[in-house]
Amino acid sequence: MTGHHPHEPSAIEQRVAALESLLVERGLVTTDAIDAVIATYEEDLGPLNGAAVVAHAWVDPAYKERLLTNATAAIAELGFGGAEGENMVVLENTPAVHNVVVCTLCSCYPWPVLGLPPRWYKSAAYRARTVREPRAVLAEFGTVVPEGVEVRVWDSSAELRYLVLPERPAGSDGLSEQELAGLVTRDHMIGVRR
Amino acid sequence: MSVYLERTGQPWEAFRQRLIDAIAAAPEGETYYESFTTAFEALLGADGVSPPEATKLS
Repeated sequence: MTGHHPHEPSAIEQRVAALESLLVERGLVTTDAIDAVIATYEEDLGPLNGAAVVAHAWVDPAYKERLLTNATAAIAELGFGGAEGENMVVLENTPAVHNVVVCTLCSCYPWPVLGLPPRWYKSAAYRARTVREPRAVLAEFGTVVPEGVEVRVWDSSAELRYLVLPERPAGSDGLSEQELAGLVTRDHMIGVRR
Repeated sequence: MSVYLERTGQPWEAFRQRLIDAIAAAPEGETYYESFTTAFEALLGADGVSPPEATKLS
């Protein structure tokens, strides 16, 4: 055992390592390409991108209109796009409607603006229960949606990836766009926070 | 998996359907990542790039 491996690799770690070795040996991938992908997800993609989109929509009504009309193009205006973000739809929260996103079949998720999905998003419980009992699931995230507010559940697919545009917080009039972006979290943009 | 799809010119859907199948067929307690790996192994198998049997879970 080396210092790099403080514990015995699990069965799943061994399977993944074997697949990587196989693909590298066959010349189907290179370790440099894998490292580049990992660096992209660690450094270039993530909820900060989505937060920038939301904040810009909050301060620029014309941009918000474009975002709600053609999300993919509007998001690209800010330099974000690519794999798993080709067909984006932005869902606007209002005082009367709260949107929440799930992928019931697997884990479809808008990578360019949210990065990789959190573990709970991929869980069987979230995928199944969000459709059946969305208010209960939201409550477990600490989000209690008033009875008078409609909860809309959106099922992501390979064809459509959703991003929730939360309501701009009350009392945020004096904040800069950058400061506003700092208020937006991944969970707001999935819709499990309001 | 992303690198492999890009390198072989395959769309995400080529993997996604296998992921859906793997999740649907997963035994109680199997994690998402196990299903993900199973789906990738299935894709490679279909492409004639068989993963080493010794590494698979029984």
